[in-house]
Amino acid sequence: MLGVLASGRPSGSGYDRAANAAGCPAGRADARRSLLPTYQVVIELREILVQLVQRKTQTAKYWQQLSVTPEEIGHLMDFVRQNGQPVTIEDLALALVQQRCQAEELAVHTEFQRGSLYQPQSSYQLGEELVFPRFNFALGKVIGQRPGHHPRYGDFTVIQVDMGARYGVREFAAELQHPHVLNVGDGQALTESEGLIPPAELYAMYRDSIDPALSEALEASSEFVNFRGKWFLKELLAPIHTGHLNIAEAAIEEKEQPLAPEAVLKELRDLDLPTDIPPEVQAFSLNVAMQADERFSMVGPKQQVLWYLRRLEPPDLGRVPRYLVAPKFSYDLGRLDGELIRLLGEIDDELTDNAGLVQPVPVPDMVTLVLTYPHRRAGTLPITPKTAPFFPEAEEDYVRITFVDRHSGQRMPGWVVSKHKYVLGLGPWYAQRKLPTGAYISLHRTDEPLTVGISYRPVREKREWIRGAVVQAGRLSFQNLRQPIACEYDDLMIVGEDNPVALEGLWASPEEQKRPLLPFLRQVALDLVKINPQRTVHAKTLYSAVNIVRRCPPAPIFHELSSHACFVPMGHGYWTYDPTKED
Amino acid sequence: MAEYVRPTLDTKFHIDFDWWQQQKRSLRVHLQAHLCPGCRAQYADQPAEDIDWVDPSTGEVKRIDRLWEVVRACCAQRDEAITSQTPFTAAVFLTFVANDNTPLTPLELHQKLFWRPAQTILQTFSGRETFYGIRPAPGAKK
Repeated sequence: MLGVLASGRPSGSGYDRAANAAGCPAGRADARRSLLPTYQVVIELREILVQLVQRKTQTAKYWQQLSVTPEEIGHLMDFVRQNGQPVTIEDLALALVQQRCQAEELAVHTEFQRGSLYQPQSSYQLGEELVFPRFNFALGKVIGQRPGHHPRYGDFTVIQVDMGARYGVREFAAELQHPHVLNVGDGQALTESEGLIPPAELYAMYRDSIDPALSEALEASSEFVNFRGKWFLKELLAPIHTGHLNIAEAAIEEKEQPLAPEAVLKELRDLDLPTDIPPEVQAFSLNVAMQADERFSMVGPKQQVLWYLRRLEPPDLGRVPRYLVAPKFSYDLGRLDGELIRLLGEIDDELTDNAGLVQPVPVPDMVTLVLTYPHRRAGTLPITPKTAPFFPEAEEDYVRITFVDRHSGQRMPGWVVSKHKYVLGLGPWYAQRKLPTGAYISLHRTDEPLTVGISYRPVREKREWIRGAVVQAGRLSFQNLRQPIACEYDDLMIVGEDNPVALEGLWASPEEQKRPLLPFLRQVALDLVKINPQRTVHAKTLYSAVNIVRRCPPAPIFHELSSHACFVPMGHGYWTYDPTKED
Repeated sequence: MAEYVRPTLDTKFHIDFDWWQQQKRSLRVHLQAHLCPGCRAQYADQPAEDIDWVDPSTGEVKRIDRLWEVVRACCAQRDEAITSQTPFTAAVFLTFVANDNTPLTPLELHQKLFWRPAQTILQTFSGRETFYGIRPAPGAKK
């Protein structure tokens, strides 16, 4: 059964009445009923009735097909003018929904203005005409009265109302002192007595359809401007001219640090900005103007606007360093044993998909990570679940922060590139401190906003035997090298270099990066096994060594280790290589 | 014209008193079966008396037996009146009586009768058979 008739009458009689109400002559209704299958009749009946009784604003389809009209843009402009300050898309959307509901309610009112709105608390005279919202705004005429009797309600009146052919004669309560939902009191709208969904709820239900349609209409309008999710009218912006922007540029350059719009406005206070414009509007106007001027870049974190000068930024800030660019790899974590999964979680690689991996326990004030070759060459640090809490998240492209060397107090600008999960700006520091691949680096929280402490573990410099990457016959090879070391490092990850320039020449081009990993991994594994007295290599060492010439997160490497018989597990993360078992 | 409703989990249901008249069934006799021992002793033998029940949703007045108010105010409010052991349709009927027949959706009924899934409630009361006049309420949208 597809549905039932709420009055309890059989479907057939209901169909006739509905068909008549919809303008179908009875004969036609009968004819159609005899021709159509019952379920089809019921579906048509339902559609007719829904159109008759349901307000359009109460349907999902209405909001899914929303198209904002020029008149409504004008209405929203009035809304912003009344507010006098920038508003969110949510504010505007709710105003739009309210306006549409009010327009619909007005239309309904106009249609049913022939009688008073029925409310149980009111008294009515014989012959008075009433409108009943819960009966689809049916009009009824009071034709009789009698005293009501109910042990809880006290004295009240029962009126008999002739509601025409559709509803017949019915009785309703009047002069009822008992609370009732149909009583329209202060702050209660007709929509409530009709049982409709209020505008705020409608917006909450359909905002996924409403917000994009409204944003599109606002962007197409020449009257609105948008900055970081807030909308305002061009006509209400404070007049910011080139002179103001020149002063802003000079202020940022002089202070050598990003400035908030409020700080820039302080520099402009002696100029001719109208004093009657609220500070929030002045800041918004300045933001809009600076956003449109190519000299300025926005370098603040989420929820904070900070302006800086593009010409003071590192020239390579706009593109991902080539040492950090990796091709797409396909791998199956299901092939990895528990030890490799554990190592995957230990290695701080921003390209590792950490979903499902064991996360490190958050350390509130300090974390330590191991410097890898790609980040050392790029002068960057990875943003991983472990390091992310130390860095602000960029609202747009990047955030400017300050690194402070915990030992020397040296301050260095850093750039958090959230989208690509790295922090730029440590190249000179790595070089100055002679940090090798595998060095321990610690990040420290500070009390200063947008400032991160950084340190390494210095030791008295001495020459140590470490595995080193060398270039032999134009390809990467490994030897034990005696090199000066002045810091603590991870034994498994350290890789020295005897000729950094030659090694840099081996770095894989984007095309070479896409070549299969396995042949290269075999070669690296064989070289590393040869220089180890135990004839083994640790999985972390393989990861560190592979990344000397091509960018590769640990998971694809571990996948290959687990997938080919030539890689023989020796336990505790160590592997050996057996050329006789090559596929 | 009857108002057509395709019941969903969000459709409001209530007890349709007209159904009892159409089916020539006595609401009074049915209510007597739900009297608690105390009320049965006090009211069962008293002569029938109608009251003007006011629909909490529409304001419409229906003449129904006074026992409705007795069951609503006392018997249906007792802890033992509606339990997981109460026959399902009777439990829904008593829930509406306790609520003075304020329309409720299957989801709202499920909140009160949590041991019955909302979908089961919907299927039971939107099928061909009508139990105790429980039907979709006219004009009662969620």
